[in-house]
Amino acid sequence: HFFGRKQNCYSIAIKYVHRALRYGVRARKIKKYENRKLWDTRLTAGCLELGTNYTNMKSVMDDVGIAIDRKTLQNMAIWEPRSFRALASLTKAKEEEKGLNCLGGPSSVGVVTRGML
Amino acid sequence: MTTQTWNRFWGSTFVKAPLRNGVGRYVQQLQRITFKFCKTHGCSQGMREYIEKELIEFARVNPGVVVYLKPRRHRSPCLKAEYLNGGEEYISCHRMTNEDIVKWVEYLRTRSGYPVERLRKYQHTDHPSIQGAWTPWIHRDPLVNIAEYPIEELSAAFKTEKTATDEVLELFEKQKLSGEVDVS
Repeated sequence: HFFGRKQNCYSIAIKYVHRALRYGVRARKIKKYENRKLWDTRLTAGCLELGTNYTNMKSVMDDVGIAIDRKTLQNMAIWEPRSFRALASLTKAKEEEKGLNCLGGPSSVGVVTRGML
Repeated sequence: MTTQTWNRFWGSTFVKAPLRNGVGRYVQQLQRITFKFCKTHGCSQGMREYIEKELIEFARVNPGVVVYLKPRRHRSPCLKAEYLNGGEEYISCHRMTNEDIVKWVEYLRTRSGYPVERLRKYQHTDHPSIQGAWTPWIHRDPLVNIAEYPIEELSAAFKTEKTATDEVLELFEKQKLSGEVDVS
């Protein structure tokens, strides 16, 4: 993938080869960061299409205890859209209960106070 | 030259099997092995021992592999394996013992013909989707297919928040249900 003298002459080529190797080493860290950003973008897009948002989905999944990572989630959103839609419906159902996106706090369904509060 | 590296110089591939070997029947990919050795020099001593003791058994157990012997004077011993998809492997057996050669021959027997490269992903599938991949219409109401435009509902503005009218109506409904309001 080097052009011209860079691929045929040793003393010129060696500089560019060293640079390519350095880029390769640096890119290993960056790849993880870039991939995660890409997955986040995809999941935000998927959630918005279905009427929730990504932050709510993360919050609800933490609460309920579904520990699916971003990589698998974005694969689901692309290749298994109906399963992803099920998760979005779960988010929509739970976000009201948790009190996300509204001024009032979490609803008191399921909280036993016995008159102490 | 610089040291070789997995990424740039040795290349990278995805997981593959020649002609989907193993999905149905498994076919041994090794086509022929060539044992090149010297009859007198000490470096071939292990190879000569292997040929005397282990080779016939190997040939009997693997009837699909063609075994060639090349006794060449003043040459180091080596193994050359050729595979069904045209790939080749060369291993120098200079001063190797009998046991070492046994292990290397076993290694060559179990290889596919593809060169050794870094795997980009550890899985491959021809069918990544069971439910069907995402399309722009998969989450939309299928009534849109037979609709006759213009449609008032679809042309209306998006409602992002609850309007004051909606809230008042909701309150009224709640009060009706709890019986505070006299509906008559």
